[in-house]
Amino acid sequence: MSLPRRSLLAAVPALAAPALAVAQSRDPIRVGAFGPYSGSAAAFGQSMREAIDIVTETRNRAGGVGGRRIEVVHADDGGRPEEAATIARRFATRDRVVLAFGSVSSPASLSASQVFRDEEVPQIVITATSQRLTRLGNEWIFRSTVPDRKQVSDLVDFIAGKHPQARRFATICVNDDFGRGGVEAFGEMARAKGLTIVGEERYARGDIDFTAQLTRLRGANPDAVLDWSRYTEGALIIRQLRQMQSNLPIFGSDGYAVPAFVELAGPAAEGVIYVTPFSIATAANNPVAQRLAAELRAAHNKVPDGTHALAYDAANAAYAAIERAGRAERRPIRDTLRQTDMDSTRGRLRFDQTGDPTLVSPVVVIRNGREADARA
Amino acid sequence: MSGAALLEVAVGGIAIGCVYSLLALGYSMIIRASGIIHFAQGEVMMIGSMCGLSALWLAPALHPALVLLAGMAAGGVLAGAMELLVYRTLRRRRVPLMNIITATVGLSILLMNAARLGWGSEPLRYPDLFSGAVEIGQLRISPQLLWIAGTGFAIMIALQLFLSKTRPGLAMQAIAQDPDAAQLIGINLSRSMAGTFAVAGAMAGAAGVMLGSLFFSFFEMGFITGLKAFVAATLGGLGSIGGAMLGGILFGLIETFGAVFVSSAYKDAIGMLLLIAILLVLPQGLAGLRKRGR
Repeated sequence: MSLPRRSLLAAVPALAAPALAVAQSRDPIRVGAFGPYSGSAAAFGQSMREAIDIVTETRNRAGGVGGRRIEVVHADDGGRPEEAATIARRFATRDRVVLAFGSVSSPASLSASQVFRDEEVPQIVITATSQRLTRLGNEWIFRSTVPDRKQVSDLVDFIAGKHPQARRFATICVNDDFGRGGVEAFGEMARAKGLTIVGEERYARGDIDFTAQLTRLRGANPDAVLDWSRYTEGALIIRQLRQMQSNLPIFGSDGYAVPAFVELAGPAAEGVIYVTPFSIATAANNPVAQRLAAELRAAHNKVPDGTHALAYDAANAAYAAIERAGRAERRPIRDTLRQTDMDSTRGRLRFDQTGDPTLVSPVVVIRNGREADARA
Repeated sequence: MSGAALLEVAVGGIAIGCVYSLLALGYSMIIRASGIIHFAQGEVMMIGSMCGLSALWLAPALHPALVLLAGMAAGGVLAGAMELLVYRTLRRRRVPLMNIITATVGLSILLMNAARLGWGSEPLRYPDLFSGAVEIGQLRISPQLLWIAGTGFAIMIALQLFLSKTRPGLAMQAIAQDPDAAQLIGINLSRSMAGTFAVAGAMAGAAGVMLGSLFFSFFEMGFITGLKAFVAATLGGLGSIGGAMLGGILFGLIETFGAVFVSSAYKDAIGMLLLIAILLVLPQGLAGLRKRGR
């Protein structure tokens, strides 16, 4: 363990020599970060890692927290729940982290959260949206992203306010927790607003041909389509619907909120509206988001995606909480984390009693191949 | 459901069925000639799709027919090379057939990973080869689907003519029927066998370009499609050329209509259930309907 730490320190000698002199005198504060750094969701893991590292480096250059450096232990869960649980156990016992970031998927986050709860380690989930995560009476879990039901209710509010002509909805979703959960919540909340669901279709994950589902949806004669898909299937659904010469408005899930979506859907993506945890398009006047954009451009020459923003906010909230706690102990850190009230890339960030953020999700529309604020 | 909507679904089913047919033809030709169930057929299709896409990247204004040719050439060369370099060597060393079939599974995994290295692990979009819609009365059909169905049929007819009218085609038929007798009358077994694989690969390459242009190209795209095409070939009667064509189109229609009228979420299960049901009635597949099915 000591060897890599020393070599890490050796790599940044000239950057912040005075601050480092203080930091070196004491052990670093260790935090854990775990996500899918490999496998099909690796792009999300990569963004998460980049943002956390950027915040950590900036902090350490400015003297760390209370004169101590922060050291991030990264671990790859590959999106697998069993791997996430193993990592959580290791973080809690061997690495002795004071706090953990992760993960990207709901199943992996959930299985890790059970270990963190037992071991009493504060956990900040980055992108997992499953409502259940924060509804199990676990006092050690926090979440950076807005949970799925809140996203759905933000989308329904948006539709009722901005698209009152869309009354009859046909829905299509991937046949798993993510898809069914989104569509069920939508149906419930949409009916409460007086909208009707005239058709419901599902498909198996990895399907590529949606002719049958879309034919049935169109047969129900809806005003608009709601698609709760991830971006690969979502892009195909949109393309195939447009190939059928249908101009039905399409509303989508946060699964669309990756650059690859527009890339895959091509011109068919124009006009598609979806809810997202973060969009740089709606953050033009947000100084924290602009700072993230500048730092990410400098470090990786990238434009921030949703995961960058969620991880960036999580790391900033965590380090501020460690600072306020005054000592690197898990329970005080958890308590100060709960009192978070700060400016984030998405506006004023606070956590409610379940650990979820009290934020309203942005809704965006694709114009000229780019996200634009749909509420504007 | 209106008649127009039904027809639209039928066109979609036939188009995807053509893709299955082209792949199934490859399975049948190879199994007839060599006894090998060529499980890497789906991956040959995937490589064809990727190469067609790469041709489009190099020359964005390329005519769809040339994109198709690029995919066919890539699939043909690849499958021919696999026969010459791998399967032929294995046969000469008297490796049992079952082990060669296992090797085809190994090659398919190898190709998948090679594609992941070369083209990345994200799905890649084909630029739209066609735009607008063909309108016939109330009917509005995507030109993409018509192109796929039309080209698919054209390729299958060309294959039939090639096999029944040309010397290399007849030679392939001959070694499929009786390799010893074929060699006795002076047919080069090695060359004809490689030719069979190349033609089967070209069919798969064409299917890859079609499937890619309809959906997208993806390093894993060959797996489930290849499996379905194998099922289609079984449905038609393994080893039967006509059966493979019919089986593919029938499977495409069954799958699409099953999804429309029964359940779209369990579309794949419906297709497989029907396959089992049909095989119970016709153990030889559709080819069994004809007395001299081989």
